[in-house]
Amino acid sequence: MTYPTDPESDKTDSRADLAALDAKLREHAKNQRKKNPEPADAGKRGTAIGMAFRLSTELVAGLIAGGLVGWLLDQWLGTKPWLLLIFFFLGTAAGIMNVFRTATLMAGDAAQDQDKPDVPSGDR
Amino acid sequence: MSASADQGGGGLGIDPMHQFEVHSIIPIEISGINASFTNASMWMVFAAIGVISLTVLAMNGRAMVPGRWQSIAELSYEFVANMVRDNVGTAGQSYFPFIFTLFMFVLFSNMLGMLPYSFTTTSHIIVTFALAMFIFLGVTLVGFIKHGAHYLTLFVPKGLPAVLLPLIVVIEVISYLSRPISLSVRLFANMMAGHTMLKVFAGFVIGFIGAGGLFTGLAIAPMAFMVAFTGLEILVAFLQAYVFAILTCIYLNDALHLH
Repeated sequence: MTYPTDPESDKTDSRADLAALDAKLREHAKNQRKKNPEPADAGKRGTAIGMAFRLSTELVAGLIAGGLVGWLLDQWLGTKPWLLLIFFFLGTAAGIMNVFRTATLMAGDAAQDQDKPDVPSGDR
Repeated sequence: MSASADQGGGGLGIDPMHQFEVHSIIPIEISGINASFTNASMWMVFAAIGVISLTVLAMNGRAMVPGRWQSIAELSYEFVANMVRDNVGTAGQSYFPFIFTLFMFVLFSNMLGMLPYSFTTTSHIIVTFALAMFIFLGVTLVGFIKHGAHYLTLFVPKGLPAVLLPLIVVIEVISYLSRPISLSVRLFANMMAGHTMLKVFAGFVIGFIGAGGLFTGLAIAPMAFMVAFTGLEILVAFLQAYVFAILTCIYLNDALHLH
């Protein structure tokens, strides 16, 4: 964003100048985007370590949530330790489902980036 | 980096977890509850002040040609605005202030933690869990306000055989409840692991130098690693703030646009 003229220098035509420049810049940006589509946003998918870490926390979070629900239900219903055991396994299932969903989401993102990299992603 | 260097002699006495200790600065007690102003509170206030200064002071000039600070403020605004638009759509625009505040606060907390002798508030699970729980409750509330009891169909996948229904619904509910846990654990674990690692390697440097003689030269290896790792930690600090904000967007999208 560099303007060749200082907007403060000439108050009278600066507005018209700026409008013209703005139109020109817009045109240029549009051509540029068409000619040279932005590369896939690296930050979007993060690093490989980030992806791996995200998946593992999803799994662990499911386990913890299941265990917690089971433990609280046990406290409430006085059925120690059966619900804890049952919900621990249900939590594992939930964790695996979380991982599966996150992985599907990641794969979808990656495929989208490969198929059509010229998706207009704003003017980031 | 060397926050723990001042205590313990000769490297072996260095405690890499010392940096995470919370101590009160202004002791306050309200009816038996310890509500002291701690170093954690102080650095959270610093993060809030940092965000406010960046957004208010930097935008004060409202220059047509933005200066450095205004550029940063505008860039972060557009970054989050695009994130909300891409992930939630136009319906998400009314939640933009919340997401922006959240992103900036987490980002500033993470980045302030990179300063030597500072305290990383996001390396404490209670801080990240409070943030995540607030998001979780808020998103659930938004879902129920927008869709009423119909929001519960979120837990029932389409085309499910009736036999499996009870099992899958329970699993779906647990999966939903695990959201604040995974959200908070991810941020907390990343920040804590990174900072512990930095201090451990800083301890190696001091240990090698303390050993003297031939070992002093060896100190260059952990030192070089630390320089590289500090760069990575800055990336992680940004990335985790980004992930925190984008997952909030995804959860919000689920609540606003029921499948």
